Amino acid sequence: MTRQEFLQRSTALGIGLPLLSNLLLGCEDEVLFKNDFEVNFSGKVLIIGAGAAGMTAGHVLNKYGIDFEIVEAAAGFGGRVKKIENFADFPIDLGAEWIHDKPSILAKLISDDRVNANVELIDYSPETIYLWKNDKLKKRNFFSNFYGEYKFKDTTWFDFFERHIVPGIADRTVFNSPIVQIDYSKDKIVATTTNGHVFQADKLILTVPLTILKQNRIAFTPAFPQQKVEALKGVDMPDGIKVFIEFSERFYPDITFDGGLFENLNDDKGAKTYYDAAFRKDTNKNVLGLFAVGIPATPYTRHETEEEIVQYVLDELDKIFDGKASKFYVKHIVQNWSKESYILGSYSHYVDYNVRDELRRPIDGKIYFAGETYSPDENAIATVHGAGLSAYVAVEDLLKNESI
Amino acid sequence: MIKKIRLVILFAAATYLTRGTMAQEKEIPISLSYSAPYFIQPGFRLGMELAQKRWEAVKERKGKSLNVTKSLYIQPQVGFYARPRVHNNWLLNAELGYKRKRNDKKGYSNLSVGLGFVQRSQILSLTVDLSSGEITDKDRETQNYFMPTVNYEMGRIISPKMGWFTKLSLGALMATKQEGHLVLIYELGLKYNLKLKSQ
Repeated sequence: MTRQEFLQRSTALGIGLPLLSNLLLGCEDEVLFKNDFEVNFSGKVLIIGAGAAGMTAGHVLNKYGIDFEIVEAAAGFGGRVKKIENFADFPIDLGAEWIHDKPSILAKLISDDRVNANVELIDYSPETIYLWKNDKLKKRNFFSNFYGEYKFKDTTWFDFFERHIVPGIADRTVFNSPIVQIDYSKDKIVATTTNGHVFQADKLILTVPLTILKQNRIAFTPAFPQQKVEALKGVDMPDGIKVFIEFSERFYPDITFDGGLFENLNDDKGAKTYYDAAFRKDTNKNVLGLFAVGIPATPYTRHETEEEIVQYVLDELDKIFDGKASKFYVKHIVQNWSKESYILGSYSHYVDYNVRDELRRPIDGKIYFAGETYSPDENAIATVHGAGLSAYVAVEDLLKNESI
Repeated sequence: MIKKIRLVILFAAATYLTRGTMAQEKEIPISLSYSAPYFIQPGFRLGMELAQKRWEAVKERKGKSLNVTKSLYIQPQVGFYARPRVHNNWLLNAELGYKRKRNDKKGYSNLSVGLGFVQRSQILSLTVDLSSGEITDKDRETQNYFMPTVNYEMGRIISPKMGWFTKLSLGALMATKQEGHLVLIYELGLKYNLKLKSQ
C-alpha cells in the first residue's frame, strides 16, 4: 500500500474515521489554496449542488464579483456536511466530522483575512483503542501514538460553512431543485429541474455526488465524452452510515475498531468503527458513534427502518461489551447516507487512481467538476477540505477561460 | 516551568544521593542521546552512569584467556520527548544495569531495568484564528505516568573519553487515571567519560 493510498483510505471524508498519524500529518505540506486568479470571464456561472464544494465555489466566485447561482436538490445547504443540534447537549456531525489536515486549513478554505472569528478544535488523539477481532476485545492503546487529527469542539463542519461561507451565497441559492437534464450543446448552458424549471448560464460547476453521475440521474446533452464515462468506472462511492446512541453509562473505549489494525489500514473494501462521539467535548453525555463505509456498512444500510438498524447495532454492541449496550441504552439517531436522497452513498473510493485527471478535466470549457472526488491533492480526496480545494481549482480554471 | 525545575531538582537529588559512590569512581560516563518513543516522537535524554560494583572475570575460550570486566550500575536520567502538536513529556528515570565488556574489545553491552516517571502535557483543544490560520490558544491537561522498562544497550568506545551507544527499551506507560499502554523507545547517543578526582 502506498503512502497516498494509506492516507486516502484512512482519511475518509468526514464520515470516514481517520487513521492519520501525526507524523504523517507533520510531513504533509498544507494544501495551498490559491487566491489570485487570472480573470478572463464575466458571464454567469451555474453551480449544481450546495455541499462543501458548491458552497466554496460560490464563496470564491463571490469574492471575484462573478455572477453565479447555486441550485441545490435538497431543502438546505450542506450535502454530506450535516448536523443535529438537539440529540445531545453538543452538536453532532451526521456527515463530515474530522478535519484531516492542520487546523490552518480552515482559514485557507475561507481565504479572507478580513474574517474576525476563531474556532475551537479538539485535538483528536484517542487514548483508549480496542480491537474487536475473532469475537474478542483486545486493547491496543499503543496505537494512540500513531493516531491524531482534529474535530470541532462545540461546533460542527456545518456550523463552519453556515457562519463563514453561507452568508455570502445564501441569496443566490435555490433549494428543492433537483437537476435532471443539462444541455451544453449551445452557447448557453441550460439546466432543467424535475419540475421543468430552467436555469441558464455561460459556464457550469458540477458538484453533485459521484453516485448521481454514475447512476445517470442527470441526462447530459451531448452525452459525456467516452473518456469521462470510462473514468467514472474507476471510482466508486459505496454505502455509508453513521449511528449515534446515547447511553446512561459509558462502557466503551475512545475507539473500537472492527478487525485487526492492519485490516483497518489495508482494507480498501471499507471500514467500520465505534467511537466516543463525546470525546473531549464539554459534556457529561455518553454518546457512542458508529461509522461504517463500504462493505462493512451494508449490513446496516440494507435495513428498511431505523429501528431495525439500531437493534442490529445494539445486538452487536451487546456481544462486544457483554450486554451493556441494551442495559444502558437511552436513545439513538441514524443517518443512512446510502438512502439519503441526492447523496446515495458515502464518499469516493478510487479503484483506479489513473482516472483522476480525466475525471477532473472540464468538458468543452463549459462544465467544470468540483467535490471530494476531484481534489487535485491526492491526500485530500474524500475530505471536506479536498472538496473545497477542488472548488478553488475549478473556479481558477473557469475564470482563466482558456479554450480546452 | 515549575514542573521542569522540579524534575531538575529531583535529578540533582538523585545525583547527590549517589555521591558516596562517585567519590570512589574515577570515571563517570555522561550520556546524551536522541531518545524517541516508537522511533517517531523526538526527544533527548541526559544521564550519568554510576558504577556500584565492578569485577573482573577470566574466561577460557578456544585455549585463550579472555578478560571480561563486569559491572553493576545505576543510571539516573532526565529526558524530554514530544509528539508534535499533541503532547510534551518530561521524564525522570533510573536504570539498574549490568554491563559486560571484554577488555580486548571496544564494544560492550548492557542489560538494565528502569523505572521512570513521565509527566505529560496533553493538548486537549486549541483555537484557530480563521483569518490567519494561527493557533491562538491551547488547553492542556497534565497526565502522570510511571514507566517501567527493560533495556538493552550496545555501544562502542571510540576514544578514552568518548563512545557511542544505541539502546532499545520496552516498557509500559502506567497511570491510575488513564489506561496505560506499551512503549517502545529507541535511543542513539554519545557517552563522555567524565574524570573525577578520587577523594
